[in-house]
Parts: sequence; C-alpha cells; structure tokens
Amino acid sequence: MEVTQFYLVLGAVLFTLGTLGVLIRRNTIVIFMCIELMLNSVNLTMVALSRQFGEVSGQVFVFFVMAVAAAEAAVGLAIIMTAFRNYHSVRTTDVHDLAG
Amino acid sequence: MNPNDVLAALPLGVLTAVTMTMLLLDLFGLCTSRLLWGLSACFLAWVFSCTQFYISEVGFSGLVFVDGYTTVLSTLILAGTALSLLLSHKYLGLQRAQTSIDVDVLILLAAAGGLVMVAAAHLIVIFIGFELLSVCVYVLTGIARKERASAEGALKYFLLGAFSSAFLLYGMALVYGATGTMFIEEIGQVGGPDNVLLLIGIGLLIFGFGFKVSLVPFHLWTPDVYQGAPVSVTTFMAVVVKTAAFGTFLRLMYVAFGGMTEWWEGLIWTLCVLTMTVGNLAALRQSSVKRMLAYSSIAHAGYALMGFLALGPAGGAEATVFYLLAYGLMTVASFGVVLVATAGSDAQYGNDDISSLSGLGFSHPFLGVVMTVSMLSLAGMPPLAGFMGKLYLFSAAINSGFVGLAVIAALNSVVSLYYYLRVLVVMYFSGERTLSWAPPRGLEWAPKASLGLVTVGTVFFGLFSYLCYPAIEVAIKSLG
Repeated sequence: MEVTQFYLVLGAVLFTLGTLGVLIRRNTIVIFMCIELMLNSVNLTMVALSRQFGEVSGQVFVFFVMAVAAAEAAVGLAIIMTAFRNYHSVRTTDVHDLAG
Repeated sequence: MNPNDVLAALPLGVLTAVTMTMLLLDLFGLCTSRLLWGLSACFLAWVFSCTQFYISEVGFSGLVFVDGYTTVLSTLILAGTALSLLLSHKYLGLQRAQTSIDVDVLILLAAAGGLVMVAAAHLIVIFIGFELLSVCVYVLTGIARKERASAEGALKYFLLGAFSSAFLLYGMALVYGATGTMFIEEIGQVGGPDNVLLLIGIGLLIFGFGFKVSLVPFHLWTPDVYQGAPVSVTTFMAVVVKTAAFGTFLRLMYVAFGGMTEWWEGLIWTLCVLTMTVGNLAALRQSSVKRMLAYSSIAHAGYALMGFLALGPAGGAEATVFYLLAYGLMTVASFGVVLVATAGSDAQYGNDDISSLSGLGFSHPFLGVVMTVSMLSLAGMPPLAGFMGKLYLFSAAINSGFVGLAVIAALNSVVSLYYYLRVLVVMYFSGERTLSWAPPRGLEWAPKASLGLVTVGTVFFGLFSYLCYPAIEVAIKSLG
C-alpha cells in the first residue's frame, strides 16, 4: 500500500512540474516536452494503480497513451515546423499575430 | 462475435473502409469525385448507425454502447461532416489551402473519432476517440500552411489541445484510482461522493472536456484558432468537434457521475454563467466576423451546458441534445456565408472586418437570406430552431429549480441580440448595394445546397420541433 502511494505522489509531482513548465516556458519545443512529461506522469500513475488493484486495464491504457503520444509528436513537430517556416521562430511570444 | 458487436462496428467500419478506399484509389488517380465518395461514406455510416436506435445494450464486452443515444449523436456528427464536405468542395483552393485528398480523408477520419467517442462505454475508448478526432483537426487547422494565421492557429490549438488532454488523462487515472474500474457504468455504481480522489478526477475531466467545447475559462484558444483556420475547417470544428465532445461529456456526466450531481452542480453552474456572460460580452466588441462568431459559439456552449444541471425528469439532457442540433444548423449557415463571401479575398485570414459584408444582402440575395435566418436563430428569435432550443433549456433549468440561471441566460440572449443584428444592419442598411471588394465567383452548387439545407432545417426544426423531440427522448431513455 505504502509503495503505491509513493508512486502516486511522484506522479502528481511530475504532473505539476509539467504543468508549470507549460505555463512558464515560451519555447514551443520545451512546452511540448513538458506536455510529454505530463503524459508520462499519467502513465506512471496508471501503472501504479493497476498494480495496486491487481488488474490490467491501467497497463493497457498506458500502451494506448504511448501510441497516441507518438502520433501527437509526429503531428506536433510538423506543426511547429510550419510555424517556424512562417515566423522564423518557435517562441510563443513571436508567433502571435492573431488577437482582438 | 455477438450481434451487438456487429451493430457497433458497422457504422465505424464502413466510414473508415470507404475513407481508406478513397486514399487507395487516389494513389492511382482513380478517385475522381471526392465529394461523392465522402457523402456516401457519411450516408452509409448513418444508415448503419440507425440500426442501433431501439436497442439499449453494450457491445465488445462492454467497451461500447449500442443504443439510441449513439444513433442520435452519430446522426448529428455525420450530418455536420457531410455539410462541411459540401462547404469545402471547390473552396479549399480559394482559401489557399491544400487541395489534395488529405482534407476530405482527415475530415472523415475525424468524424470516425467522433463516432467512437459518443459510443464509448470505457475510459480508454473515450480517450482513443478523443485523440483520433483531435489529431485530425490539429492537422486540418494548419492545412493552409503558407498562411501565417493558419500556422499560428494550428500551433496554438495543438499545444493547448495536448495540454488539456493531459488533464483529461490525469482525471481518468484518478477516477480509475478512486473506483478501480474504467467502465463508466461501473464507475456510476461504485463511486461515492465522500471520495476526494474521485472529486478531483471529475474536476480534471470537466477541465479536459471544457477545453474541447470551449467553456470559459478554458476558451482562450477558440477565437485565435477559429480565425486562423480556413473557414471550411472552422465550420467543421465549431459543429462536429463541439457536438462530439458535448455528446460524450453529457453521457459521462449522466451515466458515471449522475448519482452525485450535488458534488459537481456548483462547478458546472459557475462555468455555465461565466461562459455565457464572457462569450457574449467579448463578442460585442469584436470587429472581425470570424472572431465574433467564435465568441458567439463560446456563448452557445454556455447555454447548452445548462441542460447538465437538469438531468433526469426535468428534461435537461434532451434539451441539450436538441440545442446541439439547432446550434449545428445555425453555425453551418453563419460560417458558410462567411466562407462563400470571403473566399479568394484577403478577408479570409484576419482582415475579415464586419464592414466587408456591407452590401452583401443586395449583391448576393441568397447569402443575405441565409445569414439573416441564421443570425435571428442564433439570437433566439421565434419561430426558429435557436428559439425552441433555448425554450427547452430554460424550461428544463426552471423545472429543476435554477430560476436564477434561466434569468441570467435570458439577459444574455438580449445582449447577444445587439451583435447579431449588427451583421444584418451592415448587410442591408449600410447604404451600399455592392461589395466593396472583388466579389467571389458565381456560387457553386455544393455550398449552395449546404446553405439551403441548413436554412430550411433552422426554420423546420423551429416550427416542428415536436417531430424530432420523441427521437431525442428515446435516445436519453437509453442512457438509463
């Protein structure tokens, strides 16, 4: 029981770090890395819970999260590239025409 | 495989199979009529999803629901997809977007994601449908990749979308931790309100879905993305993505957390009031038509959310589903007119000041009529669909004791009248009889058909809402 709690706390800490990173950093690549950190903290939480309950659905979920994260990375990096070609920067403060 | 599995798999299978066939044929240059293929894919998937209407069971060992709710929501999603395909036909090139088959394929695959979401009975399935829909729409937003606005919109949508799905996932993990199951029906039976982990999980799930349906304060991406994306993609986003996300959100709240409403009612009430008020007030001060419509779509998400507070016998769930239908019709009409009126000009990415519509009512009478009906319906004028939708929502809210909320919503409707009528004033009474810039080419038949259909639909479902309401009631009954 105690061991699971440690993993849950670690997951929550990692998730918070990722969230703070997304909110604070201005480089889109770093923001994207922080999002991946958040997804991995979810994975850790899922695996710990799955182990605790002695059933596999949490672990199956992790496989899907990893597959989706890979697909998102492919699309996301392509989008960041497109933005770079148009703005010659990947900083959120530079990619900022639309407002009102 | 039992018969329910077949029924659950058929609509999705047909939709994806036709889409893949399109891709394969295009490889050999044989896919000559993409529009026809796309429309028949939607139609076939709809026919097969209708077979589930009178059933109320589960398929694939409980992973998906086979029920009337799935049918009704699938109908809305597929109809929205078909209308978006009609609107984008021949117009993507004018919007300086990719004109290859990718666009149609991505739209159809996103619709498949929507179908997965609304049928889902398990957290993993919800997540897969959610991401299938989202990833396709990230790409679609940036499909005009030489346009700065499109690239910026895609970047913002992608980063914030991925951020919010991380919250959704963490919410799912906490709900799983609190209840030990991922089947949403079992969550409803196991979950008790004294469980802090479960409450935090519900909060995070509301965050994740609130982002997708753009509730205030998770709405900041909406105006930029709606403005930056090519208008045909914006239409798809505003109609299909919102319908699918709302449908799934409603099912989740109803089936999994319907027994503990008193624990999330306050949160939803606050979001509802914030969304309506901020959406309408921000729409007042917009000069860009697309941004104005984006804020209006935020405000309408607030109205639709009212139904969540009146689940059960008060009829809130029915009212929300009917509102999604009405909202879809009027939104296709308004964005469709903006699409056709600005296609090929600089107005489509950013410079779409509201004055660019002046004289439209006289130079293009058909577009004028479509826009008029849509604006009046969005403002909630009787006897149009938007009015009936609001009537059902307000009476559901009053039935379950939220009189204050209904008053706030009614005041909001009055405020919204100002910016909707401003569009009509600009179109008809600006003193101009021709558009100030080079008018677009003659109207193609496809967008014309799409705009005509939704206008007739807006009037029809306003006058005869009692014809479709029984179907929605069957659907909500199947939720249990």
